[in-house]
Amino acid sequence: MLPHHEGRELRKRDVIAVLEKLDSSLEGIQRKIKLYCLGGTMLMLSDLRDTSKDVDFIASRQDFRAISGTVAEIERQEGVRIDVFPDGMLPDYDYKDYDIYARKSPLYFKNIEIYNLDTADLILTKVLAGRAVDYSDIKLLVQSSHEVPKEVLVKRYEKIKPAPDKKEILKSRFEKFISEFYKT
Amino acid sequence: MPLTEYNIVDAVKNSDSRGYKHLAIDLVSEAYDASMLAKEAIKAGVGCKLGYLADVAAQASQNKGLPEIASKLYALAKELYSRAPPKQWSLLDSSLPDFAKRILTSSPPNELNKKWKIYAGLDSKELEDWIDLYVTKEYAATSRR
Repeated sequence: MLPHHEGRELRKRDVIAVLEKLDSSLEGIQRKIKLYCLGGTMLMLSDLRDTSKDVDFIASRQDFRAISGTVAEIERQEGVRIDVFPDGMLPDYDYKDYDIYARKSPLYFKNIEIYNLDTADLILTKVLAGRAVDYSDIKLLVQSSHEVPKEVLVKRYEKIKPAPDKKEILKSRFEKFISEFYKT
Repeated sequence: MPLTEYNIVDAVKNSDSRGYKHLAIDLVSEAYDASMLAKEAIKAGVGCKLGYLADVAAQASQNKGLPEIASKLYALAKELYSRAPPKQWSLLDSSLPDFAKRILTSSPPNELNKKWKIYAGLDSKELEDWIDLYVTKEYAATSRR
């Protein structure tokens, strides 16, 4: 990385500061907002990667409604991009089962709870994104935890609902990954 | 060689996939001597990798309404191509895990892959997102539904 790249992407402390700001902005709310982190955000908060370009979360529709105004304000004030995907509606597909296997993160806040997708779900999101950086992230994930059995990944994939125009490309990315990653 | 051109050539030689995205953004946002950069990149044996990045960054800049930058990048790509056209296929990021290399090398190449004989998982669409974040500073999520 060139010297002037220093400071371009977000570091863990930047994301924590954003979360603290969100937490304090939600003062007075009567329940905890659950945020399920994914992508580079989760890898960074889990110390698997140093930086992330943005902050990505899935939230229930109800929680999304409660925080979307505050999130937009923090985005504007802090100059960071925060993507909150309601009900697992990711850009190319819906994944409603995002909360089933998620684990609570040790990060503590008063008004928000952070959850991490499990390894299989995180690998699935990376496979479906299908960029070179995602493949490098998959290697990091597998090295840090364990290899996810092919059958588990296939079952998770069957739960996603692709956007109509993305059905073929997602299927092709997934099948190609399965055939190359699990090659003996 | 001035620092910027040196840094760019060094990064083309030694980056990983994430570094290549940063590098493509540098090509969009930094000032450099295109002629000197082309010469040094060819000398270092990374003319095709830089040419591919320049073309991808040019397409992304054009799509994001930055025609002057796109024009400069297209000129850099043209100079690289005319001085040292590609001879054999190679991976942009040779540090990728083996399964990823197999996926990239067996996927149908797009026009830019074919032009530069470069297998890469970085395209102009992916870069446009980074231009929003780091060049034009449009933070509002483009992918949010």
